[in-house]
Amino acid sequence: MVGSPGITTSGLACGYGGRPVLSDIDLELPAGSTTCILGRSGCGKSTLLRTLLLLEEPLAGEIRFGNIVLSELVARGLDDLRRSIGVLFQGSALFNSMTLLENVAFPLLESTRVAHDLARDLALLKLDLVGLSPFAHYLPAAVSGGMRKRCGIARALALDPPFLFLDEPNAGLDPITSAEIDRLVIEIKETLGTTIVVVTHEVRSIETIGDHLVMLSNGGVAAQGRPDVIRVSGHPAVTEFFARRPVPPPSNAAGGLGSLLLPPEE
Amino acid sequence: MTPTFVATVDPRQDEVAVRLKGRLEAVAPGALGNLVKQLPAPDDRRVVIEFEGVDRLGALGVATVTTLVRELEECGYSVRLRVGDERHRRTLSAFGRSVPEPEPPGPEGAHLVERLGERTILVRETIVVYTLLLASALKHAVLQPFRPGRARHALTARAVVRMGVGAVPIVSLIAFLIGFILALQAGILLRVYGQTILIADLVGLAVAKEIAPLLTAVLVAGRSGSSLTAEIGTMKVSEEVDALRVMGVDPIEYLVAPRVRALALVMPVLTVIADVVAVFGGLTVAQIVFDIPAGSYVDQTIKRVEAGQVLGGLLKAFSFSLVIVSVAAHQGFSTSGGAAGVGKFTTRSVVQAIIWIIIVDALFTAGLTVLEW
Repeated sequence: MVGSPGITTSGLACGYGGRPVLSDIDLELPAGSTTCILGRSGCGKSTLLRTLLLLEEPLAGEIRFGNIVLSELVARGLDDLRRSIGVLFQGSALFNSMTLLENVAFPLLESTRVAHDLARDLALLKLDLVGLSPFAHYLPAAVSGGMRKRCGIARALALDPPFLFLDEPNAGLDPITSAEIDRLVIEIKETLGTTIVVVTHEVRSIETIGDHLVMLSNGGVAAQGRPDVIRVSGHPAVTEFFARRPVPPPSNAAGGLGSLLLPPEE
Repeated sequence: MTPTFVATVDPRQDEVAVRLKGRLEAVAPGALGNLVKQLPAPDDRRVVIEFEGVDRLGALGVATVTTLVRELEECGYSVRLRVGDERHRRTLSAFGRSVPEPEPPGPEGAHLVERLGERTILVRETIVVYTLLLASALKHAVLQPFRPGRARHALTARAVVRMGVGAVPIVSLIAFLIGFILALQAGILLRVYGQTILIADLVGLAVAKEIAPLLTAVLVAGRSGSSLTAEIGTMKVSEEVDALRVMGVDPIEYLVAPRVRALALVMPVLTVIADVVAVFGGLTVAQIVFDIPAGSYVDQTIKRVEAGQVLGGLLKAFSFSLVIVSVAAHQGFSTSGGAAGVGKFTTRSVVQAIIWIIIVDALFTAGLTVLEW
């Protein structure tokens, strides 16, 4: 399975308003496996994700989903491609006016011609997969953050997409819920053969689910590859990240009151 | 009362000591300014600020000291701090970093013409954006009912109830009062000429041609335009709009087009209601205050107000509905900056909608007058 075309980019530059945040991104995300995109806060993980999700226009370069070249698509094909991508947003982004069941059924009703009852049953199946079928008729505001994330995953899986994107699925969750989500991700990959892209900075979670890592740093890809390879590569960005070693703040003593202090013995 | 803070100057052989004593926190930054006057003129001796008597030191105290040090250095003194307490030393090192100078304000206001030009371009861009959004929304609104499975009838029906049925009481109340006020004002003047029956003409024409559509539009902009902006804005802020887009659902088609359909239907209906109720308001005044029989008032109104004039008003109402939805939707999709952003853009939505309604009204009235409608 690994090695067949998943998602590839070449020379990709992304950013906002013509100002690149990331440039020269060459990625090869293997199909049927879980890729973790990691990096420090503000390094452009979300920007890269938004570009891969076609929410932002790439400033340069090319994105391929399998054999489909993104820039060659026009509106109709773009919508078709979008239906083959499931997304869990950082804040789950469930529709607040709909119950969990309606949220999961929504993509089915929008993108397919299934009857209402069938969409309902399919949505219930997906909710069951994430363990939320008892809460099907709750509104998103009435369930916990972890449940909303799981419901978001169920909604992302509604159309059985070959590609699944998860934006910080573990952020703000307790270790147990976080581990449950990790298990769910592995289960999805193994049972459905989905190509999964996870943006995260939870080291524990990366160790559990990551088949392939992409480390972003300084506006580009610092390293990518299999976790065991990448971790011994000795790349400073990777080492610092996994060692959780803070970079010392720049010394600011010059010009401040600290520099005027007389030594204590004087 | 305990002495809060004392600073004493103590000139010595090799240095000038400034001894701080008491609660440094109690003085405002800059309050030590007159201390500089007590010092001897700058020579080769350094000034040493001693912290022996300071019992507590926080960020505020450090700010006071920073100000003092800066003033002293500006006067040409060389300043050092003598601090024994290890905690004070740490506090001074932590908070006493050099604060970046605020950037000087740019040459704003200098180029009035330049800013006028920028504004003009902005207004032109806004018109283009509104037009594009409206065109897309209209296209979907027209095609939507014919698409199997996604006709959005339920969404449209819900919008009709919320925007239309819900607005009937407030529109009726305001229309009645406006008719009432118009009739009173006009009646007092017309009585002088013994022509109080013309109240019916005046109220009928003013309401049908101008006041009913305008008033309805302003009320609907306040009621429904704001709620549409807030709804879309909240969805935008919580990534729900993005979620729609990645599902291949066009947010304009899903969120805006049903509203366009609903409001295009609702606004003329509300305007007709406003027409009738305002005439009734005028009738009430005419009958009670000016002793005009209800029957002749109604006859006079029907005789004077032509169907074409009412239709012109309804045409206005229809175009106002498009203005309200496109402004509200645009502001909603432009929302950023969390909860505060939703509030800001909602306000902007109502204000801009009202401005554009009146601009469109002026254009419309001018056009209709030229066409002698």
